[in-house]
Amino acid sequence: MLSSIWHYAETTKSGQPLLRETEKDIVVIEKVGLSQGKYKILNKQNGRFYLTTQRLIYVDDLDFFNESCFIDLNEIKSIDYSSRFWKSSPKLIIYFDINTILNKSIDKKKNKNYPNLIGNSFTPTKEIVWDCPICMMNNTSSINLPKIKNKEPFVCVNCGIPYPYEDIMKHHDNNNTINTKNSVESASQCPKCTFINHPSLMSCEICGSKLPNNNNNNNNMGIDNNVEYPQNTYKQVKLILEGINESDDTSQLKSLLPGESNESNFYVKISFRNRDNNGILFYEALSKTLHDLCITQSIDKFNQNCTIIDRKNGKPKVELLKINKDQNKFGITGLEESNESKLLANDILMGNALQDLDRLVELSEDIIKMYSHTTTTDINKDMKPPKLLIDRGKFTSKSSFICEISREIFDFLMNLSERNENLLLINILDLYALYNKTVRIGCGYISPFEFEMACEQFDKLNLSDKLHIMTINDRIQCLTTNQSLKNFKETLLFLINDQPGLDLYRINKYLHDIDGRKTWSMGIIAELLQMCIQEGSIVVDDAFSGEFYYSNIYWKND
Amino acid sequence: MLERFQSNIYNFPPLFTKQPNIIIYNKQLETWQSLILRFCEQNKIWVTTPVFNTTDNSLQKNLFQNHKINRSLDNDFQAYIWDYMLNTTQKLINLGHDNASNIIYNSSTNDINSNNNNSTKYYILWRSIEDWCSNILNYLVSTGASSTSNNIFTLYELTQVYGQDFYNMDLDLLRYIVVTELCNKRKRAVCLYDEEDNSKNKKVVMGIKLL
Repeated sequence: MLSSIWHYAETTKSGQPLLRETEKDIVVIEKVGLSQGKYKILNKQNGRFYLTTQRLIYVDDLDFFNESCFIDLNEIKSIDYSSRFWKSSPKLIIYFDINTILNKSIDKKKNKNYPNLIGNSFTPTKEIVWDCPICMMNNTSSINLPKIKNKEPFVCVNCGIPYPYEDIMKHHDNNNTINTKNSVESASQCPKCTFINHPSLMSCEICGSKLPNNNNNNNNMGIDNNVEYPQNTYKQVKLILEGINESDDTSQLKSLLPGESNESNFYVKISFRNRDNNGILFYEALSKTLHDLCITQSIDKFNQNCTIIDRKNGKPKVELLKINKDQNKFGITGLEESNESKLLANDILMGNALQDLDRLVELSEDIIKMYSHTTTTDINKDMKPPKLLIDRGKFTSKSSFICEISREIFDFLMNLSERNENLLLINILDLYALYNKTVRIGCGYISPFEFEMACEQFDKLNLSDKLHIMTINDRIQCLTTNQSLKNFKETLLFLINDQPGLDLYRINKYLHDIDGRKTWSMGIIAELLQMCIQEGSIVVDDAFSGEFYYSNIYWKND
Repeated sequence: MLERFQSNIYNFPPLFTKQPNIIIYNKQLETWQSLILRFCEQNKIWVTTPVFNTTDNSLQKNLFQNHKINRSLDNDFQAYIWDYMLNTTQKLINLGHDNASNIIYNSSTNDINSNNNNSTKYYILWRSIEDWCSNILNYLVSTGASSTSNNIFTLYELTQVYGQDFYNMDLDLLRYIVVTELCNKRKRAVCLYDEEDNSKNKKVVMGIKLL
């Protein structure tokens, strides 16, 4: 199945995408549908698109756990925008480089014979190394799509004799496995600091920048559909195109190509279905992000333009190595002198090398120290992926903002109650304050009205159909489920039955001891007590030292 | 004398607090009524002095204050309970003066001028009027009806019959029971009036003659 441009995107339980390290979200657009080439992708026709600094993340509204996916911005070649035309909704067209996609597809299949449009075999690397059969010169030639298509002959740099395309490719096939290995190696090489990382790493170990082909592994894991992977590993993105046979890879590949004339372009289309929003803002934001990405990739290389400076003289050390290189001395003295100067140069070189080695050892010790320090504090446990910043500015309409807020509130609630909505009973006012003061700090508080609207969206957003605002005792609005309310009441009655004559503070204390998982709070307990009193299950003893509560054992309601 | 009375519910602290739930509250009133009636029966309390000023009262000291759990009934709640007994269940009656027959039941309110609310007496009926009447009638029949000559009884004489439940019964209450139930309703006896005190056109029943 061809899905190398789509990668599986992880989401939270509330349907928000999980961001990577150093990734930030930029803009969100809702009601989008995806199509690959001319064909619509089934099950991905109603969702939201999050534009971040690294990815374009699609989160499905209906089944966000299975259908969410993302496109890496690095893989995008260019983008285009087509406005509304008759019934056709405005679309964003994203073009991909065929080479990257084919490379990745073949990377995935390794030595499997992969049917493609161009030749019998296709090398995944862009550069090909071949030996000239005549002069045995080891040539390195780059190949690109027109070259492959026209079967242009390879020309030896040494003897200048062109050599037929097929022969070279046939010969090259034997070394294919090695090349693939190399390409994998190069894939894990950091584009900034050139450090060769472990292939499974997502970002560079040294400088932290994102690795170009870090998704290879993730995609490779998903090739075999029959194998089930543990939940934490990346799932494969399921792509079912409208009107295309699922098993036919060739036709799927073809579906990406807009026409015979322009084969080098793969493209996918994003349709903006929202009537009020034509997506032009999203398009502009995306093009700006791509532009920024280009700029950041071209600058900030590690050790760029650096030279080693001798601290004493302030002169570059490189010049020391040039001593006596161009001497015009002859004879034995000349030879001796040149020999001596060479020895001197060697000494200096060796000295420098040892110095460098010392520094390297120092550095490595530092790294070991740092590593051992981080492992003791268990940094992995504390590290959390950056959170989605829900800023009003990122949303084009109020409703989409409210929806996103709703998701965030739901996530917040779930974190409060150990991911179990039946352990939740919280005063809406408390929740509002808590949410605004913890989550919304720095990105704009929301109004109580917006909060209430967001709380009423849980059902609509497929988050929970039971959790809703309930008015308790005709005065307090709480966010809870019926089951939850029942659970809370049962626990409270159990405690009062067990230990009659407790006051509110004691009840609060004991309830936390008995069932600390639930979201107990003083106000909630007071309201629950009031509720039980009204129902007749609890009676009150109003003494000088305070109010004490008893289970109603004598005056039972018939 | 309270030992038998110390039932579990009497030591239940919420009993001394007016319950906010109306259904429970009504049950609570019932509980209090039964407690009062039982207490009065055991201690032969017939009459209670004005409700709001029960300072020196056995009920107040021994029933409305539970020293064991350190709770007491406040005056408002007491008033509610008396009110409930007076108006809802009629276990408490106020013997006034019957305008129709001009009979004064309450000897202490002979003087109309001194009749104010504070001195009003309330009678606790730990048995109903009918029960008392049957009780008295039984006694009268068993003693008086055998000898035809001796069928006149004074009310005071009746209260001094040792061993009967109505021994030491408040004279006014006995008068009320005898007049309303025995003479007027069942017509088993006729009233005998005090002739000396007939000047003010008020009649005071002193005895009965069994028919």
